Amino acid sequence: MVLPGVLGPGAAALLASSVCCRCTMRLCGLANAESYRRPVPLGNKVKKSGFEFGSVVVSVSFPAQLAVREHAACLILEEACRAEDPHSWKSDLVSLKEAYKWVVYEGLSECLGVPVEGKSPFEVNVNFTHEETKEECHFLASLFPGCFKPAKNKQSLFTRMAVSKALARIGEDQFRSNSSCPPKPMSMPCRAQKISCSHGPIYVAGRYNKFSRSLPQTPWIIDGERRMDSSVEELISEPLMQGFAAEGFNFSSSGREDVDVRTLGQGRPFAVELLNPRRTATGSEMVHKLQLQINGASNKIGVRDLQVVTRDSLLFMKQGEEEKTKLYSALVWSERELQLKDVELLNSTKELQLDQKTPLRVLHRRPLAVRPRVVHTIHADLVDAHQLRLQLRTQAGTYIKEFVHGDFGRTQPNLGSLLNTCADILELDVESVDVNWPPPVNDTPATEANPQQNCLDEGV
Amino acid sequence: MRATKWELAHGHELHESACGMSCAASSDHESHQGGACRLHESAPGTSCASLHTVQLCMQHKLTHICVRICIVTLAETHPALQPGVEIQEVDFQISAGCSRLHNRVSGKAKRGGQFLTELAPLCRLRCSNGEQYSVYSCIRGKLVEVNERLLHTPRLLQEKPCGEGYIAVVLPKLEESKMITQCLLSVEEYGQLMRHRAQENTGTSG
Repeated sequence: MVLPGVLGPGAAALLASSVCCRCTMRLCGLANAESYRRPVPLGNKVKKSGFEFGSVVVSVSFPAQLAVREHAACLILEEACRAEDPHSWKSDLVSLKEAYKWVVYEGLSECLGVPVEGKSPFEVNVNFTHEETKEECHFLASLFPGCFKPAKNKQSLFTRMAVSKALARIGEDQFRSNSSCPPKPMSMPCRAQKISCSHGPIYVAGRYNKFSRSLPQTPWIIDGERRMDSSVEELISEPLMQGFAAEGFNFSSSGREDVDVRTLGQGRPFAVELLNPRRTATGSEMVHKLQLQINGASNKIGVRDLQVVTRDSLLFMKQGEEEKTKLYSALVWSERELQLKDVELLNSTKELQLDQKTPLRVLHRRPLAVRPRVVHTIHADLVDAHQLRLQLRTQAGTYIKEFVHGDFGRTQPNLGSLLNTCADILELDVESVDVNWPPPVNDTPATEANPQQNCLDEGV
Repeated sequence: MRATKWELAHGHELHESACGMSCAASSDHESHQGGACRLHESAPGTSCASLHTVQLCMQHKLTHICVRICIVTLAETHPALQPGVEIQEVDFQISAGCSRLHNRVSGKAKRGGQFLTELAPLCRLRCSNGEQYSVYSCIRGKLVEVNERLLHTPRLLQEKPCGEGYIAVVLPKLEESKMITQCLLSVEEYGQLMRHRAQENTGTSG
């Protein structure tokens, strides 16, 4: 920014002030930059925020009106260099953000005791304002009203984007007549008005069992009223959120089951995205404690293989949803009396092709379509003359209840048509979700709830 | 009506018991717009939806799943379902320019579905005794689908009028959905109404 021998009066005025007119900071000259080089107040604020972090990255934003001053400074430089190479200075120009980071990073890193990394999940955001010069960009709005449209989210009309758009369009003469060139010196530097810290999300995955027949997977709220107590999602995610001191969560799983369906066996894979967690230096011990806590708090669900995973590995979970087969156990009622030959008929049924129209019970929120699905195998046992226990292995996405009761004949064939009876489903359990993710964690066996636990409808 | 164990699990009533109701005294060939509605609330289904079975128009029955979808079926009191009558054909061509078979819907909102008012005909039944009956929508909403199986298997309508022999599926507007449920009578109320009308008829006919 200093060009010896070619300084005009404007450039000299810039250097004379102890607060830089261009950036209203004190970065030029190492002595002036002392407060930035040892950012103790900044570092202390970060420490107070309560976040755990292993590295840091800083993002900084400066007031919009500085772009006007920068524009003025550039005009002066251009003027000064006109005699020589008019564009040589452009390649030397350092953006204010870069300059700030160069000066601040070393000291901040030392103060916090962690390295600075571009990809760090822990971000410190520093927001500068300068009251004194706040209105210096307002003239642009009267000249270029089209650039300054009020947007819902922004408090001020004068965003950096809008200001730079207008500056790109303004001619030199117009600029000089509307704004001071060189920019006027002022007394106070920019103030870091807002310092905030945030941490990128942490993903915790596992597998859950559902032992209750009256527990929805997600909260059941209609018209603001909760229709059913709790949910799988809340029972798992709330303790995790507390354990990681996070602000929010997103729960997802490899498929899901109805309120009245149990999930047995190894359980269903799930992942919880924890938003802006404060506790991040977590080892497997803390995760194991959380697993014990979740399992101890409710007998309606159980979790296993709880672990922290990367965001990328979540893909495995969703893949399973579409591709893998599922194993179900169902208790079925038949209107007519059943005999051994009915059982034999079912046991010998292999690779049964179904056409399932969108079930009526979900038709309000799904498009009408016909879905071809396959029931790979059926194993049937007679419970009494009117009841069967079935074990079915089916393609992912098969509606089991509709296969049993026929859904007004909209699933063909169905159990009723196969057995020439009226059939209905009394109970349904998911026995296995065949997805090999997340990988098993070694110390689970002692903590899992008994999978033979009886159905808990009334009391739980 | 007591909820049996299988009703509880499925939340869906496959067979409507007539509870000893007498036949509606209508001698018209066209179905009678009685305005009598019946609401039967089965125990909240342990499946995601619970079914409200509704009887409208005395010969029509509406099954209203609490999540808006409605299924129009014939009530057991309909003349076409009486013994000795055979339904030979179900015709979905309701006018020269409109066939319910041409109904197409797309997306979650069922865009493109033919819009129905209460008196919009869904189909016409041709019976062995030479009688013809029009079946009406009875509710306002979008036609989602008609039961095409009735085309080649009309006896479904007589064998399983409340199940596989359903007429059509209709999706009322969200804002009208609650109103529809409220305009309906419970099973007991409907039973009373039918008995009342039967008494009136025996009274007048002497």
